[in-house]
Amino acid sequence: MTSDLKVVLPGDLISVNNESDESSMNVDDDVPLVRLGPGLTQVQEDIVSMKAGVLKHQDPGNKWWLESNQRRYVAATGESVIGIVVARLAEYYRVDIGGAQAAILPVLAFEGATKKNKPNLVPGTLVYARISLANKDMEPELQCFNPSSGKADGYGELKGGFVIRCSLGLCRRLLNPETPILRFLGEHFPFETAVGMNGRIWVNSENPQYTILLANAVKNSEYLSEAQCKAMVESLIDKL
Amino acid sequence: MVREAEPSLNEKQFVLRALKDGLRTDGRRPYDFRSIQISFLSEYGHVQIQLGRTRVTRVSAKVTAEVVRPRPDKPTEGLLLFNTEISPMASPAFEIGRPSEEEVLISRTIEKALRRSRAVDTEGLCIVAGEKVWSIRVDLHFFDHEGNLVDCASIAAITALLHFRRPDVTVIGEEVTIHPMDQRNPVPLSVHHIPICVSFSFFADGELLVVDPSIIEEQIREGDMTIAMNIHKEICALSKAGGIPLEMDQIIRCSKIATTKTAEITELIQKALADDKAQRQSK
Amino acid sequence: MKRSDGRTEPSQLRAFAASQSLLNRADGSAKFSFGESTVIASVVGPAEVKIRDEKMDEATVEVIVRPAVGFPSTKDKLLERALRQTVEPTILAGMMPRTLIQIVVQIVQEDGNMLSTAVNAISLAMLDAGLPMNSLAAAVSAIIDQEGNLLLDPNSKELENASSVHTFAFDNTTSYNLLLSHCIGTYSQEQYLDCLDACKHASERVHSFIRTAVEKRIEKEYQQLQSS
Repeated sequence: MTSDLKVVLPGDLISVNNESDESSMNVDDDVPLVRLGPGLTQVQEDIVSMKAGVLKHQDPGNKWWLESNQRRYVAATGESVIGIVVARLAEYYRVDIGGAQAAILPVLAFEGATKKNKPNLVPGTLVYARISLANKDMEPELQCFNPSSGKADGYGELKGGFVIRCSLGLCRRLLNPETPILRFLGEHFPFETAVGMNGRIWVNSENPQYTILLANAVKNSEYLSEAQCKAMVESLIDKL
Repeated sequence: MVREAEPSLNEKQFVLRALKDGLRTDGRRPYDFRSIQISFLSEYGHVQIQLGRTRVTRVSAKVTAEVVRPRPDKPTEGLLLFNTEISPMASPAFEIGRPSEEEVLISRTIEKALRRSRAVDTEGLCIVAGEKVWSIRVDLHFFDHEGNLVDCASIAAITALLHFRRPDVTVIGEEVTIHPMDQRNPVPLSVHHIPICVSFSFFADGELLVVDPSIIEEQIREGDMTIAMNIHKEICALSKAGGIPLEMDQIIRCSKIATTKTAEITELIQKALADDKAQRQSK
Repeated sequence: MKRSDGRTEPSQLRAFAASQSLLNRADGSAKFSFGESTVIASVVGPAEVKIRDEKMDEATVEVIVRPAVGFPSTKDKLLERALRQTVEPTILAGMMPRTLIQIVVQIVQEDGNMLSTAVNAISLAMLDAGLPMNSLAAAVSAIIDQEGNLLLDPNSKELENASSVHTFAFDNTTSYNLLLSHCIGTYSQEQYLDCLDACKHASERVHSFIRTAVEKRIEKEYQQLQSS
């Protein structure tokens, strides 16, 4: 698995045509259709990488993208993030999501919110929100409901708990509840998490001791293998 | 200007709640200092100090010496200068050319703890009275700010001063010869005592206290105090700039904690210096 | 020919060393050394920018140089400018309008060649920060000494005996574009072209070193995650 890693650097030309299969052929002009994901861009005829990362390819749809890790968040539509309310204005809240600009959360962007009945969030409140609009020239916009159902679906104010800050790559991995570290911790005590794609993870459990253990175990798990994670969790549990 | 992100209310409440149970968010107990890692670079007097293991506070100190003319009012005293300008590398909250209150306080505390407490014998730096003295400068580089820069900086500065060697000089009449390091063994500075800064943060009206605060503890604390002490249990400097008023007992308790921490840290520094010396000799 | 630090060839570079992600507060960081010359660079961004520095169509790139000893001087300001002009064209600043990319360079130890050491450190730090870039810069210096010899990667002792000092940075695209040409002293056109050529070859080695360093790091991370 590790032997076929293809690491690319910015400026590298990516050749995508040799592996294209019949299904991705565009019917009209016989030029294979290529879909580019994060980290890749088109410069005239060529496909060029913009970051250091691992080149990934998915055959159905002929999709190509770079898997890379970083710490600074750049907003993308549809991603879930954890933000901190920094200011309350008449029509919207200003929310820090760790990007270049604060995001905007309209006061009506909550489940069932009306002009008369809307949540009141004070500065410093943690919110779990979905990015409804992201554009490089504008401040990102947030919403606290699922647009397909109109329901909160877990979005909204986060009460209690603690926040861990980590790399975006670790956040992506933790989205999977079967990630070794979460599974091992779950064997010992129950807890709640909310993973923001912006490098923030909210954790909560019934007692502060567990929450602290949880926070440190998750933070330390970034570069550990499954076996090392298990050993770390056990040693932390033993110390309690 | 990049601002330091304020912690959320949830984090503030959690830190306080955990402290009431005697717990800290990085897994330490209230009176625990983070682990201190001392590493020496190839030149004499160039040291890097790291507080903690994963999220670390990191400061390095570099000592250099040059020959200058002494101040007219103190013709027989050498100079000892500190440069504590903090770059945005340590934290986006620091700006070049516009020192924040925090930066000024760090700089003042280091000055008071090391220079004004006469830790280094400046008279011994005189070469020819009124003509030539050594000027020793300590440049502190702040790399990572995860809380308690001041203690980290003070440990870096004093360790670097202890590690430093200046070129040997001979004076015959008016003639001053500075011997290059490869010709004659360089000489260490004469250090009278080793002041170590130990910082405290206070919460809940001064009821709760922690040693060696992490960055989140610094952000939500109600008051703070730094005690610079040496192994002889002498207080070299004490800084309590604002914050909540403290009970006398609390200050006594802090100075007792500082006594033990100072002893531990001094021992650590001396061991690191001895190890480095042995390593350099074996080369 | 024997050089003052034991190197045997005029075209020999000192040993490279590099590490990435060594700082935790910055978005990206790296350390790069040519022998004893060592620089740590950190990158923050895309971050909030001051209104007066804001550019409506691209990111503002700021470079701050911190000397190893003393306060920043004119020399450091000059270095800041050269570094900014070298790395700015490699950043896809148009993808991050109205933001700030702040680069801080801390000189750790000086033994000649600081400009090229800093360029390489910044390149690695920008990779670590994951900034969108169109290419990567790598730099090498050379001198023509009093006797007319061309020496690559001079140390501070050799610099004392230099009649001209040349630093060049190249990107890693197929056309291998020149990003920086910084020369001090008197030299002939021929000598200039010789230096350019020598530095071009040497910078290919720096580029491949950077590539290996990044590859090793990423491969190691993947291995750790997958070994169970």
